[in-house]
Amino acid sequence: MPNNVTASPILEVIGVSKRFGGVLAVDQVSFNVAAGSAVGLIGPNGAGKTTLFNLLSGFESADDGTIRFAGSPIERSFPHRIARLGIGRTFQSVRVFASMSVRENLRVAHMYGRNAGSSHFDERAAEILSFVGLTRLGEAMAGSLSYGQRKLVELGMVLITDPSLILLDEPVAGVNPALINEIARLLLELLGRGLTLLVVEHNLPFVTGVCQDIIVMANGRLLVRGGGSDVQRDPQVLEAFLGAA
Amino acid sequence: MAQLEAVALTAGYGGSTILNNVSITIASGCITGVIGPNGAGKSTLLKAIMGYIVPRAGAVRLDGDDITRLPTHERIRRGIAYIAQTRSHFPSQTVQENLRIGAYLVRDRAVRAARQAEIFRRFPILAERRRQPAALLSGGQLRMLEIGRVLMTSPRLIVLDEPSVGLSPALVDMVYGHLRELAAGGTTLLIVEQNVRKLLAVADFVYALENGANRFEGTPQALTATGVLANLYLGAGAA
Repeated sequence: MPNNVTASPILEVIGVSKRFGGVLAVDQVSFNVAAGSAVGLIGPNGAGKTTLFNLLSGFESADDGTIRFAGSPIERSFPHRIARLGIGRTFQSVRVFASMSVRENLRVAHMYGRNAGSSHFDERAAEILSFVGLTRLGEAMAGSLSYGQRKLVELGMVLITDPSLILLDEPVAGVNPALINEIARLLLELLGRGLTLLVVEHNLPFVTGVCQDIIVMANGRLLVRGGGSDVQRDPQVLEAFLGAA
Repeated sequence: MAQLEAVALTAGYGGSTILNNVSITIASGCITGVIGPNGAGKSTLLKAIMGYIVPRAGAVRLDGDDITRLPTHERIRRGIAYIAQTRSHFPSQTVQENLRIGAYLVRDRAVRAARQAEIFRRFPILAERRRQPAALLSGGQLRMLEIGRVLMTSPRLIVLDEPSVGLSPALVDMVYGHLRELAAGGTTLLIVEQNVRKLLAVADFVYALENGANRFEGTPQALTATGVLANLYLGAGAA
């Protein structure tokens, strides 16, 4: 049983909608995410998952509805303010500063984090590089790294902002199988440390391995929510993935 | 009869391998579908068939001839056309100019005029808007323009990467109606789709790819009868 019902929600999404021209990309979506849980967000292409992430992280503003993070409304906030409140996000296509070193990438992210004023950057950066397995590549140009390594840099950049909720947009798309397992291990460890995760991902074995609680979106709406095996056996979920004839 | 064959194709980008030993056969006059979840290798397969990437191993054959290393424009000259997933029109050119660009291989003015007339008969809305910039067309009209543009070369085989993407259900129906008509007229179609139900409703034969490898081949009825679809899209735990 997902623990979203009883534990206190860190994120509350209430009746949120977003329209682009004639397309209702997110349509009256409501759900809670309990603090310390991992929730997977799946659905076919065009379901509205990335738009929802953009609303949660302030890259787009909702046309309707309320988003509360740790009790504060954020649906009109800008991305840098949301980052400072403790929501970090990664992107579907990895975004790092290619001509800066890995450590410099972390420093830029640190400037926008919750602990931006702290003088402990070096210690924290060393700790995070060790956590994501990039200690030896701290001085390497981010652009010289493999795609998978850049995904790890991006995760490090999120972690150095000291978030309590991390939004991960396709963390293992285009990543080799060995690194997929490594990223799953890192995310489970973050979960063990009390962080909350919201994960958009097409790789179902990965997402059900990390998240016990899965939300399925289709056509901008929340279709069903449940455990991995419930969702996998739900005929309307399969139909959503296969499209309408 | 096999018109186009991809035989044991292995292909990728940079250090990563996307397609691993994938084979498909496209029979003349049929609609062949390719499905698979994100990252299965569908678009990479089409790019190898079109010559946008050169496979590391394997071969592409058209009417029995090896075209693996033939440049894309030579493949088009031999009767293959390609409609990409992303928009490929020239927005500031008129509808008619876009069609004319599609006919760059056609030297004979009379042939060009006849083909354009045929396209305008098939898609009356394009005739109505022939002098307007393509940027003013709706999503569905742009799809028609893209189909019309490749028809200017009178292809025997049209390769389509997700013709339904970004279109409303009614427009998807309309586009598929046109594709059915083309197939009924003898044009061979190879279609990659994420809208699986739509594709299964029109395809004669379908291939499913998973993680860059062949997973299933057969008729849509045979595919639906197996549990392959649930496994492909929802993972091994699905019914």
